[in-house]
Amino acid sequence: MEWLLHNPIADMYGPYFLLFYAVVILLVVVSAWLVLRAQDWTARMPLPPVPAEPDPYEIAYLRGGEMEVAETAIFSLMQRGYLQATERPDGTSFERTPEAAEAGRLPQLERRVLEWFSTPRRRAEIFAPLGLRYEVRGGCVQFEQKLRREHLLTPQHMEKISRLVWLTGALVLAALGGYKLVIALSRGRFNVAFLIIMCIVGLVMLRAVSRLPQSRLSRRGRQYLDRLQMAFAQLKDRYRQQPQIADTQPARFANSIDPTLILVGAFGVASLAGTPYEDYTRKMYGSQSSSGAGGTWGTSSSSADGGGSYSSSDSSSSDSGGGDGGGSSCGGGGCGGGGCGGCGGD
Amino acid sequence: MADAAETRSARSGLPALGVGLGFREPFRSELFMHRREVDFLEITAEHYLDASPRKERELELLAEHFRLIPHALNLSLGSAEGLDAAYLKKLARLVRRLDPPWWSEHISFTRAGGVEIGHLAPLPWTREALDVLCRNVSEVRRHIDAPLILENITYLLALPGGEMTEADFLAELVERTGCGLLLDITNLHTNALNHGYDVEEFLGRLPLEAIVQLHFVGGRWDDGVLIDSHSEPTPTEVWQLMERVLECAPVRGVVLERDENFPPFAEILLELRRARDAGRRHERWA
Repeated sequence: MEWLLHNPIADMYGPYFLLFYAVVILLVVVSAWLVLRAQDWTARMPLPPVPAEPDPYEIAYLRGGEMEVAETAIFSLMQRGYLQATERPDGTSFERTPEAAEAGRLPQLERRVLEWFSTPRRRAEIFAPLGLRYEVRGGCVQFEQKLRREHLLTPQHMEKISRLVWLTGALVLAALGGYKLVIALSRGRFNVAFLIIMCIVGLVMLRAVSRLPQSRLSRRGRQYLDRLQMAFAQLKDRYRQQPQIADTQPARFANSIDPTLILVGAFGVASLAGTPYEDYTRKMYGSQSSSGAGGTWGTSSSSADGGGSYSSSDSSSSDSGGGDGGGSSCGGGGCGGGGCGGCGGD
Repeated sequence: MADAAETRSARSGLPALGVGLGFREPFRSELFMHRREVDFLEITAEHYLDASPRKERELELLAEHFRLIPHALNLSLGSAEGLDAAYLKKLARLVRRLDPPWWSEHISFTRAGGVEIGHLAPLPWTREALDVLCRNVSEVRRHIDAPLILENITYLLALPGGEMTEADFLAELVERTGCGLLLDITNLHTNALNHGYDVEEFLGRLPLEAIVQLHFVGGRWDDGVLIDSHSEPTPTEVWQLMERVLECAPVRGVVLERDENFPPFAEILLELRRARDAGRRHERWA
């Protein structure tokens, strides 16, 4: 008993103990991070390639799960004129268009979404826990299985491990802080505010670190999503800088993958801001009222027909760095014989 | 000479790559959406020599999905003062990293008296220029094992004092170095129009068996001069020239080099398909 009341920690001068406690907190938090990081071995695996025929729904599921898949499907259906959003005095209503009756050849997932809209739906219904997310769950099972097989989702055992790490670390921090608190109070010292604050801060930090592995994606999954987003990043700039090309490609080349769906799958509906499809974002999230309030919306918002060209200024996109020229105007920027002041061109 | 013989021998074993595209960032996304239609990419080496982390990631992404052929611009093989050692070292590191079947540079100079010109300048067709070129190529070989192929450029002015024709210059260059040729058929067409020479006669003087790769694209007319702007669809004359060269030269790959006025990617795909069909007709690739 005597040892419990008088030992190097119990007798340590207050400020020195706080310093010691800070070091312990740091050690516990860093150790927890290292242990959990080592448990997610997926980062050491080589990444899967970008699919030769990317599936926008699979990418959407990887990025954010069922709701992202649902939003991508809504965008796809609206873009093709099977769904529309109508502004009513009491809010936006989403409903099927007469053309939806001819939509027999849709993928199963889109068909399921379209069926869900057989009665007009409000925005709140779409985003409700038992709303569209619940409806598309069945259609997402294949994605879930594939992502698990590829180790792109956080392994299920990580939840147990992170809980164990959290409990162990929290016990160490709480026990040490609590012990010193009891000793201090028993000796009639009540200036313990810093000790309590440090204990709380330490526990919060530990909680944050131990929750990281509970994110949906494994480290491999996050790296793979980064890779997909890098591969398809130019689509954002393409529609922002050259709005006239919106919709021309799928229309003219019916067999190719719709780039707008890949864009939404990889970056979400919000990525349509600044593009000819911006209205979809507004209607979906209701962040701003559209200029055509009271009207009906849902078919393609493309304004131009011909396949316009996008200029080389695309390379100044947010994803591209300047100064790549390597000292020459040739290559990436083009170098013509005459354009080079009468010298040579490649 | 032994070096040249070895290089010639290595040249004959180069793989047939098929149809490639000069990589430009604006169509990266569409490239990935149609990557089955592109057999390989030609990357501008300078973009990745002192690369930012973002460009490093891009290079990694590209290298994991495509065969990459580095295409250098600033080695300045025609510089009498020799090569920039620091640049060569970086280029060698890039080529080693990518391990391509070959890589390419231009028959030109971009540096003189230590000053970067910033453009590809033509060489005079003289023995002295040839000696310089061969000496520099030999120096490059000491640092880079992968086969080097050399590209003809366009020029508005043929430098005075030439001792031979451009075709003879190229033929002797190939003979002395053993390097393969990257025949830019658009440049050939452009020079032929601007300088009034006969393409057939030019090809007749070239060692056709040395042609490894072709470049093609379209240029624009400006005040009666055809500019190699890389900004237009490939013209009929260049397609005909491609057929002609594919018929008689063991071409391993063709690359569309579009740099400006980018069309919808579908139009680029149409050109690639046409080039693929041409190669298949002449059994250059499957």
